[in-house]
Amino acid sequence: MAEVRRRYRTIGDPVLQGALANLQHRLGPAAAAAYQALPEGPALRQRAHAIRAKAIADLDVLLAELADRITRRGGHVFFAADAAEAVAYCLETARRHRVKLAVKGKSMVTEEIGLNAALTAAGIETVETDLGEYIVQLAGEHPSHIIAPAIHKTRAEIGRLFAAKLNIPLTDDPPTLTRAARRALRKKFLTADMGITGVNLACAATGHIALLSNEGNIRMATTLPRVHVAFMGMERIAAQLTDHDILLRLLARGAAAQKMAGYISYIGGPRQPGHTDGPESFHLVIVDNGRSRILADRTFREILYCIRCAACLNVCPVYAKIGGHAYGSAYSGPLGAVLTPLMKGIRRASDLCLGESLCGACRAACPVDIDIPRMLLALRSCLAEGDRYWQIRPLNPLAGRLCDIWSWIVSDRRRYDAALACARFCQLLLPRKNGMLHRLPPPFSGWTSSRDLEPLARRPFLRRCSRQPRRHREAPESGADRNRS
Amino acid sequence: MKRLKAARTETGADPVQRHRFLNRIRSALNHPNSGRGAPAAAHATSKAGPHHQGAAGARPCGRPEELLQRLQEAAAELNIHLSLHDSPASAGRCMAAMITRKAPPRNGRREVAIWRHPLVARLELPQRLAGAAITCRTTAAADRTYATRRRFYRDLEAAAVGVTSADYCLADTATLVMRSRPGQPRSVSLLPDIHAAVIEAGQLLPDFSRLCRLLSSGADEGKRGLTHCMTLISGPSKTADIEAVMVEGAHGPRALYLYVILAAPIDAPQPETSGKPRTTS
Repeated sequence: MAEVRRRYRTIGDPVLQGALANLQHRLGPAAAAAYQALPEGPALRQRAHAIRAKAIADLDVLLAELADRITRRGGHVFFAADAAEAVAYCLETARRHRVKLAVKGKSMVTEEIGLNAALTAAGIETVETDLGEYIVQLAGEHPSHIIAPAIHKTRAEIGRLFAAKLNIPLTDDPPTLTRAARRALRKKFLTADMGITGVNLACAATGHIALLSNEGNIRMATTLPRVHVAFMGMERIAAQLTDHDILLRLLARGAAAQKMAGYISYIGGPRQPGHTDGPESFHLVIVDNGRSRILADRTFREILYCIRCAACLNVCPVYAKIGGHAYGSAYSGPLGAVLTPLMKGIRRASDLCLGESLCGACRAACPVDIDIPRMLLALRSCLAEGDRYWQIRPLNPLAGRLCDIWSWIVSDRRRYDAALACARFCQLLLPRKNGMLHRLPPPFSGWTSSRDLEPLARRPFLRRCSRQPRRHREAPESGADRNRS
Repeated sequence: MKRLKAARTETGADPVQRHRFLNRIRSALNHPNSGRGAPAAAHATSKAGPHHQGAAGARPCGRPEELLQRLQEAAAELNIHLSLHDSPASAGRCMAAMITRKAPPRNGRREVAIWRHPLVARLELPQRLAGAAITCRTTAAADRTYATRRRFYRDLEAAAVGVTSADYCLADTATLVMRSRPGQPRSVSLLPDIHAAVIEAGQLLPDFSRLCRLLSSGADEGKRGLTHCMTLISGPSKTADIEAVMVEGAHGPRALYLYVILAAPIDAPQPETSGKPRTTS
């Protein structure tokens, strides 16, 4: 219970509730409007879905093509089966180039494989350079949103943090704080030996990775240090540049309701001879880490279409209340509720897929039209009925039997009425508190473990309705209002 | 052990590792759970792949005046200081005045970093700024060692303004498209406080879709490709990470000045070659 209270403490924090509500209020409708304003209209999302589906179906061919083209330009491509291999490769590269300081662009996959901790343990100073990530790193916390990592911190908190860590006068003015971070990070950029980034979307036909940012930190990390290591989840690839056109435009709209990201860098290898800047050594680490297992299951393959824009976070009513940290993984929001169980174990992360509301807002907001509610339901069905592929045994075989009995009862009016009459009689025997049922007997006791239950009405609703005089229908408005309040 | 061995190979492209990785994907795509019989269709994705068509493809390229108007709207949205000029001389005068007015002294000096580029050269900035005691450094197209490159970055960091051109400009989003070339480092548009770019109206493209189609076409531009680094810039560097307050000048330039030369006096761009940049590499 204490664990639950700690994880969901967000709910009792009025400042954070305000910040989350503000974020959703600002970005949710704006993204929807941005889809509407597309020259092709919102139907482009379905086309993007088809493009992603095709790319995932051809994943082996596309990855081989990408790797060949990058290698031909003098870049190195490493295929990492799991997190440990990816981290080991990065450490080995850092050791070979005698790296002391690494600057990082925002990347979900490095968060997933725990790269920062490994680099720090190896004595390499690792600095996050996205302003939000930098704040979160200075505070010793974890990001709580895919594109707004420090959404859970107020400007006053950030002011105090910067005053303590960066030795600047106390202020809560965002431009002043941004300039202070800029000054501190400029020094890091100019002295760093290694730049580490993620990949937003690779392009197989041209052999490039595309990196998006608004701050310019990713351009710094890919231009100034002498080594650049880019990490990409193996699914983040498109066949050709014309697919990038559709996907990147949707990504910018879904993420920040922008027509175009501030900076897009297409990088296809290290500095070429005669050129003035760029890294001497370029490494692309393609990470599997459980993705091929998801790929093999057609039910969940669709989650690999995700391009990590965070649009689903910006509309999710559950995310709005519990915030990103409660998901206990790098991936939060509806996306995380599907992806985290598949990566960490469906049973282990079961409360993620069980806790979502299935309202469908995430699907409506998704720039590539991923049916997240369908997959949440499929995860629940795995949990209830067991699944051999994911090695899940059903938690409670009795529950399935009870559901069968329930469906038999409710599929017939007479059986249902008889069951209700029986229940109405039985509830007289149960203990009550303030007129509410306080405790149900097993196997129904779970329903009352944390709340009381309204008893069944003495007369069923339908029968009461049929006896009501007609005048009540004349004032439906007032009735509806009373119900709402 | 295998893991360590793989990590040790300098190329990173351990063929066994790669083979095993791709095989895992192949078998996943054929897994009984995936409910599909045939192996992944090994079709050519690069050249023969279907090119993007549809609503965006059908849109007209746009007449120059119309493109300019779309550029003006997009620039206003992104706080880009856009000005239109009849000649490079006029753009040069305007840019020199902006630099004199805006460039703050750094370490007691005022410096401007300039791309080695024919269009930028025609602005004659060194002559125009000599009177204001502002030094212009034109980036050399020399191959540098890491140590001299570091010094170059430090010099650039001291420059108040970086002056570049671009390969294209996308009108709908006011996006500058720059490909890497010797003498045209990407850090000039990144490290200085202010980024000033000059282009000719003939370099305008309607939007990102048009750029993607142009670069994946079989024409000259498609063959030249993206080079090893292509950068797209839409507006100044910005962030909204502190309580969603928009602040310009996060890590890169805090202001972007864009000078568009409407008609080049020497050779006016022909309509059919209007998409091509007038750069030499």
